[in-house]
Amino acid sequence: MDKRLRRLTREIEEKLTKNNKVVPERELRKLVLNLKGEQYLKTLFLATKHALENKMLRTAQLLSVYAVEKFPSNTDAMANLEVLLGLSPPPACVWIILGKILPKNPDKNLILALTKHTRNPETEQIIDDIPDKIINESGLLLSFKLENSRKKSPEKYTKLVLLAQQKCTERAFSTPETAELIIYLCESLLLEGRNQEIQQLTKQFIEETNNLAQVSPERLQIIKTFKSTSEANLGNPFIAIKTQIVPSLLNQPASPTNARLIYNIALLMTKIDLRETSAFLYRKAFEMDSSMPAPGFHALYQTSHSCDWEHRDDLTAKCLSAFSTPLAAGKGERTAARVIASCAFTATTLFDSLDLQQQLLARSKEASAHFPTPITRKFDNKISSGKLRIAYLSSDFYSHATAFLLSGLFEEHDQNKFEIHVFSYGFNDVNDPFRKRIRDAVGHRFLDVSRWSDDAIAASITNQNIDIAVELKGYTQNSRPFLLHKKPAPIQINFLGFPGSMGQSYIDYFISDQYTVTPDNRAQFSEKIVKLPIFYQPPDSNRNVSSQSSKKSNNLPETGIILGAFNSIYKLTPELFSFWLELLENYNDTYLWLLEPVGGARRRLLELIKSCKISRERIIFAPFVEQSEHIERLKFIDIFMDTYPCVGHTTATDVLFRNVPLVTIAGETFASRVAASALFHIDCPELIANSFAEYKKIIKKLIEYPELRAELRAKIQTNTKAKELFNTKKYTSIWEQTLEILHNRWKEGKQPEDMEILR
Amino acid sequence: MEIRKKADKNYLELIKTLVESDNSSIAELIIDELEDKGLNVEELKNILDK
Repeated sequence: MDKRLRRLTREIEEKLTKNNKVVPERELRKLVLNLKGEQYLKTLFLATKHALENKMLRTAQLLSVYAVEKFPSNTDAMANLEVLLGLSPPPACVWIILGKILPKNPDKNLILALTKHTRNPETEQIIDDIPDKIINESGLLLSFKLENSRKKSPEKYTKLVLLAQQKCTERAFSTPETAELIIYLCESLLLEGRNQEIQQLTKQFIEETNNLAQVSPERLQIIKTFKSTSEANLGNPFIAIKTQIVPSLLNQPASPTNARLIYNIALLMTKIDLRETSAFLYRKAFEMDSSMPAPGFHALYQTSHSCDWEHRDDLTAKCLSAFSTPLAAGKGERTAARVIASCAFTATTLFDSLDLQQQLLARSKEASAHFPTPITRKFDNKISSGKLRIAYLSSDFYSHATAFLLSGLFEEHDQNKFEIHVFSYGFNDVNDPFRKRIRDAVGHRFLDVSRWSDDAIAASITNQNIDIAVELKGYTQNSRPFLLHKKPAPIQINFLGFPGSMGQSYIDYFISDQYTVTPDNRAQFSEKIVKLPIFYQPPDSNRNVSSQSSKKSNNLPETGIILGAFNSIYKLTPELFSFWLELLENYNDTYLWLLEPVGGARRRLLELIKSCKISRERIIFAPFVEQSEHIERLKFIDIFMDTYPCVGHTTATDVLFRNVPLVTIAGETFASRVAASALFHIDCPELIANSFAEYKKIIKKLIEYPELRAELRAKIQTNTKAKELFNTKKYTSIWEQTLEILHNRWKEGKQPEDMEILR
Repeated sequence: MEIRKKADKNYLELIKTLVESDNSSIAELIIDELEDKGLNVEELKNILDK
């Protein structure tokens, strides 16, 4: 190779280093001088080879795109370009040339190479510039157009989804192209909860395609995953597992695709309540691909439920490491929304860490990049009915903590000033007493939307001119966290269900109180904070309390100190349990009363108890009973020992309702401060510990001084009344006042901002 | 004598599918878990032993 060619190639690289947006025309012209035809092309090939051998990839990409521009029908030139573009994102000037080439010659392989960098705005622009006629004739191009329009133009996106579905049904494209289009379609449809359409598309493709062998095994696996996910979402998890399972699953070679497959099967095992099996599979998937945080967080959560603490520290370290990496690299952004929904609950409840909350916020924002920028409706006097229209959204309108807290509020809502709508998307028992209470309070505006897609629910919110949508689920089980992403209501609130920020720009406010959100943890919220002048949880003063309970009927001893711990089992940690057993060892007249663990959790806890040589009779398991009986029996607890980092939320107020001294640790995050907040609002700071050591000290003191326990019981009884902790009427009036303030701000065209509501 | 409730028919089908697809180790995990939950898993164990 001559020196001149090497020198010019180096000069091109230097020019690109200085400014990668400008095509170095002068150097390129010098390179080919007066050459023509084959000689011209040969020189470009030689220079490309030299650039590549000398690690000048950008120059190689530029030379290869230049070759295609000059010789569009040369297949070697095109093949070179396809390979080089697939290696790394090319410099800006290459995009400029591609912008001229692609609309005239939308070569499929070249576009496939570009999809590796599909989130690049330049690629999106190129795809957007290709005429619709060409786009509609290529499944691949239609897939990209669909992806682009989702964010930029929701109207165009809706039309394209319809067109793509039609093309798939008609089998208008080749089998591999149809497969690609189905994958893009399903990704979008899944986020919108359109499970029936996914099922129809994937079933038809898998069952009616004669030449499935033309589809790569990886892509076919993805289609099967969508089919199985939709089956599970429609209530058929056993069928879903059958769809998804492959021979010798655990012997599959380690790869991100197989990790994803095992992860999906683990998710299905969770759906059929096989926590131990799913935890094993989550761990396996996470070992296979430790860059994928969701299986790690799931494993942590499921093993916590089973009190399987063997891998806890290792899993925790790996989860934190996986979560510190941005999710939105390349195609990852499309699934970021789903990833965040999988990790957020565990990250928020099993850790008291402001750093992790900060990362969670960053990851949530990456996920929100998936959605179009929401537009808030302006106030229009014509559609105002005089009443504020409030929509409450949840899947938990049945005997569930959310319904326990909210039933009273629904009953007390002032129907003359507020029009209350309930959108229930859970598959609940219609005869459930709490569902019935809420339905009776709301009347015909209680809508069962469990079979509706997210879009259909959002459209209904828009059509009914809802003023304020109250999202009660956040990132909890069976939630639909992205349902409100199109901003169907002008004011959207994150309230009660999820104890942290959703990190999404379409949620305006987060409801808290004076104690839970502090100057230290404020930065972990994307929402504006509304601080109520009372404890943020709504109380239910009309709750039923059974009167038939006795110590004997609860298998409790008539004498002795009952140490109660009724939080969900997943909140238990080895440190806490070991401390509780230590108390039993040191204080002979104490008994530990725990919510009855099931399955592996029961076996493991019993093994630990046995190893401590504590008499089995001193640990009493409380069986699951209905709510009124549960509330009644809480009065037998002498000291309630809270868990940490995830403290009691509804359980905390339940025990205070029965005047039981509750000892808690006040953490840093919102989720770790809820029980302390309840105590703060009834002026009982002596029961709030600032460290584990202090927590131990308070509990020991209460065991040793019965008069102190009696004093605190009396104080809680007096203060819950005086401070109106359980006054539903009072709470509802403050809540309604808050809704009016938020509505007035919007009416006046003001942006949401942090605010403290005054009594 | 303790009388344990039989595992649901769906589990029976699931265990069959897993055994037939050479995934007996996962089937075993599930059977152990169901047994931990207090269910009668004799029928499931029979499928595994076939």
